[in-house]
Amino acid sequence: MRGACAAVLALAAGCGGSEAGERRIASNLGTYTVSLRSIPHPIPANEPFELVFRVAPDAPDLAVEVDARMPQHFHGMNRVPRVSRRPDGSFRAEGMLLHMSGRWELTIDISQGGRTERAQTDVELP
Amino acid sequence: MNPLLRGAFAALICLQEGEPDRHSAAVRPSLHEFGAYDAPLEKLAAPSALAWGKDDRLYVADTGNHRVAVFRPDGNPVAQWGVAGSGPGAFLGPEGIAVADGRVFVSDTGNGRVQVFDEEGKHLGTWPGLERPRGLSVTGGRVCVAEAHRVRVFTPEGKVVLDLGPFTAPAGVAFEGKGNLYVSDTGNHRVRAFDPEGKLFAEWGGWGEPPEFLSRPGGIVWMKDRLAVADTGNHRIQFFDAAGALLAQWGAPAATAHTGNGWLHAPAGLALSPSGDRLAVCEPLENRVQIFSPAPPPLARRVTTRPWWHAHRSAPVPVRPETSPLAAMADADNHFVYFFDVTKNVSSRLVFRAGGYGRKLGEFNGPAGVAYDPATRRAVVSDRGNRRVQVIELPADPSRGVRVLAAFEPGRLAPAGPGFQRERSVPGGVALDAQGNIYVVDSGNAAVLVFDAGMKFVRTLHRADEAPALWEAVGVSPDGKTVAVTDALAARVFAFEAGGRLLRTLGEGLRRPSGVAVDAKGNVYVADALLGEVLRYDSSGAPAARWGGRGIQPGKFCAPGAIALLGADQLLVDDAGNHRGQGLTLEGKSAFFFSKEGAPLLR
Repeated sequence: MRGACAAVLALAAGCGGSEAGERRIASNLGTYTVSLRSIPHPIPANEPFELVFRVAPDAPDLAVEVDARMPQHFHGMNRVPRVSRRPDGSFRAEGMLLHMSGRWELTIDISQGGRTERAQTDVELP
Repeated sequence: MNPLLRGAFAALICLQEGEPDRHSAAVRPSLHEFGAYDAPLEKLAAPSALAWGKDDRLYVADTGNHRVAVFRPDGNPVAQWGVAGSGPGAFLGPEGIAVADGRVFVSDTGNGRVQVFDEEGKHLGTWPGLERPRGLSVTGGRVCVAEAHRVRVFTPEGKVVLDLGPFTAPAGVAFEGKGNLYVSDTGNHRVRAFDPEGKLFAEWGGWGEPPEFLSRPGGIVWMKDRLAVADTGNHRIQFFDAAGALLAQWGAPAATAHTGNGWLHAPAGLALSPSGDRLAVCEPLENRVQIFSPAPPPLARRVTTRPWWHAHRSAPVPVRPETSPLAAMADADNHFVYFFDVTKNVSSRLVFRAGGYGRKLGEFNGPAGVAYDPATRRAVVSDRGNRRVQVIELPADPSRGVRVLAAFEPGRLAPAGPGFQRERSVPGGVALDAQGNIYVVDSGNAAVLVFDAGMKFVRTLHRADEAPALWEAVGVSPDGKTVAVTDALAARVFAFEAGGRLLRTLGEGLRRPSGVAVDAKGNVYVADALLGEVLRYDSSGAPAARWGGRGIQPGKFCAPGAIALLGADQLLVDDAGNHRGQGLTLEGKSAFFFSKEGAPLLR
């Protein structure tokens, strides 16, 4: 049953992917492109998962925060994910869990030098 | 009172015997009250702090009148001193006062100093070099001053013995008998407790409405075995033991604005009489002082509901933004930005809501202003407590929510230099021109910072002199050629041309400008919080019209804040003290209300 409860990373307009399971999304003002995939893929319902992603253009002083919310229910996750930079330059967000079925908004906030821009995509959890 | 409201009001209150328990807000009659929202401002104008002296004298920091006013508890005036200014004995918006050992200490907030007087008002000395001092407490030869981001304890000679922080705009400090010090950390919605060596031993609060939580706590006072906290944003007084356990609460927000005797409306300052038998409370929005017995009342009316301005039907009913004229309003107390459909002849209703208290992107801490551009469906929000500006977008599809696009920290992006210190930067009002340029008031630096639509810094507008200033609101003409900013301390509005040259200064008839808008012809509209009026100046700076006055009837205002133009023929006013917005014609005729209730109030 749980296997059937897998999320679909809905494609935001103008987004695409290259590798299997990888999605590319543009930040909301178009400054950054985020290529991300979930582990496992697809995102399981009510089970921990990770996100691995790259940000382009990248810079050593980029700071990244990851979150997920259900806008129609006015709540977010019950967990606070941890984001770390991996040796290959990509980012890894651990400790994520979507505990309800429905539409989630996955957000990646990218900050540099006093400016923050949000990249986001939808996750439909059956 | 509106008959319908009176009926609802009666139905929502029950009378019960006994002491108010710690979970129920209670209304109790005051022993005395003086000053009133509609009394002449010469009596009291936005008093924000008070202190009890000998011979039953009550010393009030009469902030809006830039003076100290002394009363008997029954409201009979005894003395007053001070005028607006920066010389010895003059004040600019004093927000703190303490009396000890025959001396009166006054936080001369706008001038960045504490002044000391004898009890008759003779000037004894000045401590300069403070950053927006507010709360004061004096005991045992130690003077504690709350400044913009810290709290310092001085000896009577001015030597610093403790330097605590950081805090965010702390408004109250109180010594307890053992020498412990309590600080009302207003911008962080909490109370912090320190031992005599400055070691933190307790803290409590956090923003919220339930008992034990706090919303913009203001004045605090130690009362023998408990700390009284003016829980300003929750319109009540809460009492805690030394470690922060809640003991009791009373006070409740008025069922209608300007309700007297026992109801509280944003209480700010507290003072305990020397004998401990009376607690004085001042309410700046009401221009009022009330005096209560701190003993548990034999009969308390418990309030089981929220006040009239709270949303019982708060779920937004979205519309397509391009189909309806929308009014945007920042709610600093509840940390939301609201969008109302203000279509003519349709009951104004809440259609979008963004925010909620917090630090994450999309959350706010005390939003100080919002500007909305219907052409792009984008709004910029001054997220004051988080020291950033957020850019949000209303959805084209009403089934979707408000989308956060980006954020920036104005104080980090503007170049540091003479007259601009990054660590002092605090965003205030915001405005947009037709090109999408973003104008942000930097209240800490008395400047307007201009950014393009891509959040890139463009320029700084400021005055060349170093006069004390408190810039709060900004308006810009659609073509961006005229930028107007309010200075609450100088009671002036400065109009700049786009390049930064000062065009003119508007000031005739102003007491405390709090909102400003500029139309396409260069006319400047100013809301004045103290007068409760809107004033219009023509493009040459000449006064052209004024309307309003303090009150709750249509066309009247209570502490109006932001002001904006809706199209070419209507004006939107954040009627903050009445917890509503009003739409008016450009001749000042009230056209509609908008509020979280979604229905017009008191028509």
